[in-house]
Amino acid sequence: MLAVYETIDLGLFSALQSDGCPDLLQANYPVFFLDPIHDDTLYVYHAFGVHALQIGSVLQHLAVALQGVNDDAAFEGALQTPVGTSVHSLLTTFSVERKCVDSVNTFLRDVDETLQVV
Amino acid sequence: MPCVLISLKMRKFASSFLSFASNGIIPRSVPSSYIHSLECFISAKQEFLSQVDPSTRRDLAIIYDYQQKYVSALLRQLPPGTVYPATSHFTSIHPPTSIKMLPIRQGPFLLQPEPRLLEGSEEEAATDIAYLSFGSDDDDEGEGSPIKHLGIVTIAYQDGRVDLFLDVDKVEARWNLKGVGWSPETTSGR
Repeated sequence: MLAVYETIDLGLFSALQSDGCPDLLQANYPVFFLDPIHDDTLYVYHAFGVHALQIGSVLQHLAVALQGVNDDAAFEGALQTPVGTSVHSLLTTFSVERKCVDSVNTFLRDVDETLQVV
Repeated sequence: MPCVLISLKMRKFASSFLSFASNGIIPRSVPSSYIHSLECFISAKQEFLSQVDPSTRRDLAIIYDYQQKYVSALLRQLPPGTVYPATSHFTSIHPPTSIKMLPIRQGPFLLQPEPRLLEGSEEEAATDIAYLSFGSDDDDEGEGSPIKHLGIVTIAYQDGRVDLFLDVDKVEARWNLKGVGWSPETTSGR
């Protein structure tokens, strides 16, 4: 069993929908990259840029909740005030005007298609 | 710590996504302290089991025996003279050839509560999975912290959704042992 703690929306779908090109998501393959120094930080590389996710505050919150298991007030307080992952957009490669992305993913796909034609 | 034997995999099934786990897939190179810790962990489990009546949990005893055999085989791959506790070195390892049993596929794991979906989104394919753990062996700072043994699993989806799960029920190595009756059906609902 995996306990679902949080669902994070990077905002890609809503941004593309408002720009009228949600089809671009079909070429979107987000991948994770763990920060080599900070074990509470991971990065999401996707077709439209890079997001950083910091879960340090979530961990602290869980630690407080776990320590407060014997203390009803602290436990209750921790449960009532959920803490979420802090999400930062580090890099955006999406061009609203051109309705396209200049990303490594797209670049590689173009190269791949070119090679197939050749 | 036992996750050295674990690799999480995903597979698309209808419209929902399921996570599976399988042991027997190991990195080419690990710190030697990792294997020592794994051995300590399995010994501790066996000792705990021997304190309760072993005959009642014969199934667990057999699994732990196999885990013990597996780790012993890994220990023999360490360079001679590697003792614990010693400075940990990265050592190349390979899956033991002495273990003939096939690892069992575990899962699918129940996601609870059901993750929320992005409204209107049709690109729901999962694209990557990551496992985060905190407080390494060399770091005494986290000693005694309740989150030291907490694992976090994250899954990314095509539409820019990222789910964050707590690995509360750790996955352990299991093999397809005849007569013990371990199968995905009996392990998934735990």
